[in-house]
Amino acid sequence: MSESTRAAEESATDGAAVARDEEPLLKVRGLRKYYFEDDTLFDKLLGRDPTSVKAVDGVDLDVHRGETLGVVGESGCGKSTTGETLLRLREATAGTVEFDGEDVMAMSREELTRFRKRAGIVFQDPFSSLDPRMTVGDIVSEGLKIHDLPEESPDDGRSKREWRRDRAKELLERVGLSADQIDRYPHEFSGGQRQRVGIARALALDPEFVVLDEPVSALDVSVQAQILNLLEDLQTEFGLTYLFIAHDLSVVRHICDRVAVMYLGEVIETGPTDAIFESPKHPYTEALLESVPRASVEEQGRRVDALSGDVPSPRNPPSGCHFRTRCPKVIQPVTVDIPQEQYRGVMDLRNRLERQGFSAASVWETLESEHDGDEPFERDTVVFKEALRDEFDLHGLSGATMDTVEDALEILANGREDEAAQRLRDGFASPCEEEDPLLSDDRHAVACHLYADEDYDADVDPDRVGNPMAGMADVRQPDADGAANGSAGDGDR
Amino acid sequence: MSDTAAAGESRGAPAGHPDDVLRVRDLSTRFFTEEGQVNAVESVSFTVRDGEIFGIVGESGSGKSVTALSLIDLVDSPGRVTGGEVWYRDADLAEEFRDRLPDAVDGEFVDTRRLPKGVRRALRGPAFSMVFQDPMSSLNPSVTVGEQIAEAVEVQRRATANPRRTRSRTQGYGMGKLIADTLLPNRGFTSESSMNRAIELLEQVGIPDPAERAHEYPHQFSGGMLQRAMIAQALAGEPDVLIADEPTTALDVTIQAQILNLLRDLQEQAGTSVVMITHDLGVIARMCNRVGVMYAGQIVERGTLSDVFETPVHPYTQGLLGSIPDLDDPAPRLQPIEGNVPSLLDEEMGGRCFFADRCPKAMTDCLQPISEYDADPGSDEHTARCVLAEREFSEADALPPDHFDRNEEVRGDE
Repeated sequence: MSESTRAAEESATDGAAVARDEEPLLKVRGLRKYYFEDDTLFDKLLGRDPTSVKAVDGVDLDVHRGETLGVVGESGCGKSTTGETLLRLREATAGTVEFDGEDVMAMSREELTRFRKRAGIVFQDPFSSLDPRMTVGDIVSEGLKIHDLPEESPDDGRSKREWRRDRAKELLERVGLSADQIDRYPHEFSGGQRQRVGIARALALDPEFVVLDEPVSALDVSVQAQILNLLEDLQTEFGLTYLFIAHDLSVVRHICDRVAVMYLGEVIETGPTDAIFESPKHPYTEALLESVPRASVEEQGRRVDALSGDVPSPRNPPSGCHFRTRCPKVIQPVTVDIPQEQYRGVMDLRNRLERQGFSAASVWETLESEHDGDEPFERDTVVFKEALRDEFDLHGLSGATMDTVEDALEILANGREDEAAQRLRDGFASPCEEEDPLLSDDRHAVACHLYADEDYDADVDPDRVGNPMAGMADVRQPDADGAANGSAGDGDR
Repeated sequence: MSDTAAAGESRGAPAGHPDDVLRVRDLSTRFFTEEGQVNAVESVSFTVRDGEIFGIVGESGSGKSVTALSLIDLVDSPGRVTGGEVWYRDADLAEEFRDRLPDAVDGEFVDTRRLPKGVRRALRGPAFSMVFQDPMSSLNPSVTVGEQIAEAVEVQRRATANPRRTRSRTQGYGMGKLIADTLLPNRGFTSESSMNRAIELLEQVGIPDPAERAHEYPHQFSGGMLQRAMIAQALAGEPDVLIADEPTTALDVTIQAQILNLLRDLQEQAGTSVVMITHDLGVIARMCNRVGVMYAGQIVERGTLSDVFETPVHPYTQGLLGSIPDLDDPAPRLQPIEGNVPSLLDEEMGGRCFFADRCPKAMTDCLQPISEYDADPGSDEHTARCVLAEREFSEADALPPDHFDRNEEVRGDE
């Protein structure tokens, strides 16, 4: 895809971007990292197909010089894997990573060593990421030794080793430890102090770019604030560029210039921090922000409309939009026009039937366990249907919609789950499950069908036609009316 | 509250609000380790009312979890509850022990610390129960979730049939039973009716397909679902006081919101009192009516939510609130508390305010033990363990910044 047009568009939409380099320092395109299970020789002999776990499934990121890009998401969304894969600490399954114009994925050993000098990482857990048998001085100067620094013996008669030790002392002082702690071991330090050691280690080689993988999530709030202030100071002092991975939204808001929100291996929304936090577009971002408890008196007793269910397994992500199984704003097909909560209920029931092995037998069992009284339990389909209507909030439907749902419940009560799922699928297929929404192309970008109109009414970039990722305009034709109507019909956003 | 003033006399329950279900006075727990005596909980006093959520907030190592364990007498060796009283309101229990243990009874209140061990044990379940922090490691991985909850139900059921005969419950597992169980490993403890009750409980806490999920093992549950199962287990005895120790710390925010909603529903429907222990001030703000802030084993400030969040007196509380980035209105720079949480070794603590070495407003008055003072701003329940509740800060009395850096001898001279 054409980067120049993207950059041009970016600077056109926002005047502030002029101050920034045209070309980002780090450019990630279509990054994928799959892990394979059942992939041993033995499995192959038995003819088993490997199953993939799609930890990172097509991530695009730009990190500009001197900025902090935040990557947020819940556990298991692939944010840490993204951070490690783009530094090539893990080999990517597909995708490109350009660092200052060089392709990281294609680097030779020597080039990679040079790259490692320019890009560092601070790990999440300060307890397991420091070698307990090395002194902090050795830990901080290990990188210098590996890169054989200093290149020449210092002029002042110090040996290279002494130079490295002095450098380690400087770094420890800089991150707020004292230089005479250089011969201590990690276990003698508290969590916050260890994280400072980890930061000193990442800074030892004067990097330009640092991946901060949840650097404060293991720390107490008072210490967390110290580390956040330190990271900000270091960024100003050394002109660092950060990729800040975190799950804590208030920390991200505090430290990041731009944010990318991830869900199930994909970036679903990205943009300037204030735009994301003040006017989130994606329903998932909205739900995340809504869920965070604020530390103020107004928070008392606030009830959050929590997202239902858990994050689906990355082994078998939902078709189309990955978030559709939990999305409160999932788009209704043209043929259906019911209140959104009830549509959500129908989709929940379908989802349970299709993805979670929901069975009529377990409903009967539950009903039986609740049944008390002396007469023996009898299977009554009326009670069965009522229980499901209660659970999935399906009361008050009417017309054809009600007939379909009642039909499906009747079929389900007779123990034919697949048929019931099929009936619901025929009647209620959402445009969201047909195709994966693409991340739009502007500064505040979102991957959601609700915003499809805004994106695709814009001029289609001629350079992108023919690119599978850009095939949106073509793919959309068959169900164009569906998607358009769906988003138009969704009045409550 | 005025109960602290009466701390010297140790007869009877502390005075308090008529709705109190729990009044804790001067509870202290020590751990006797090889490195020395650790004062994990240091004269903690607070009260919990009917149907309210009382929050205890503090950083790691501040003693909040040990406080919870001390309440229900679950502190393990080398730790021991060394002092204090836990007054629990239960008219029947009070009647039962009024003659036998007059010291342990005051009106409807019973001091559980003075009751025989077996009775204390019998209170776990119907009176107190606990939701632990890490659901993954708190459930037995080799027993199905339903079975584990049914066990709890069964224990409570046998207990109700035979109140306070603790031997008939879990104890008394002698050689005969051991041999029987070895020969017949499938001899279940649970019955069908307790399993049905377990399924009901699972449904009550919002687990879909409860009948089916009950037969699954903990590893087949997600973190949020396991935490729900833990809550179901804690509800088996229909407790008066539910102690939730960091119930959402291991969970993502969207799942955290679900669990907090669930706890709120349970508390409103059943009128259960909840003691909510967490490090997250946001969770406290959403859930709690009254709050205690812990630091170094002490409750340094307590009061209603607005006392603590709007008009904090203790510099630690102020520092804690200044340390968290605000989601809606980010400040350009955070105001952290300098330094680190102290170790709680007895010999290093000294008889002074434990926060003085990190406190921006430390004065010479802070070098003596500080008792709990009534704090002026806010409601009349607002107390703080800080001299600033009694007097203004003055530069003249301020400690020099390097006061605590000087060595022991210098400190000893003062």
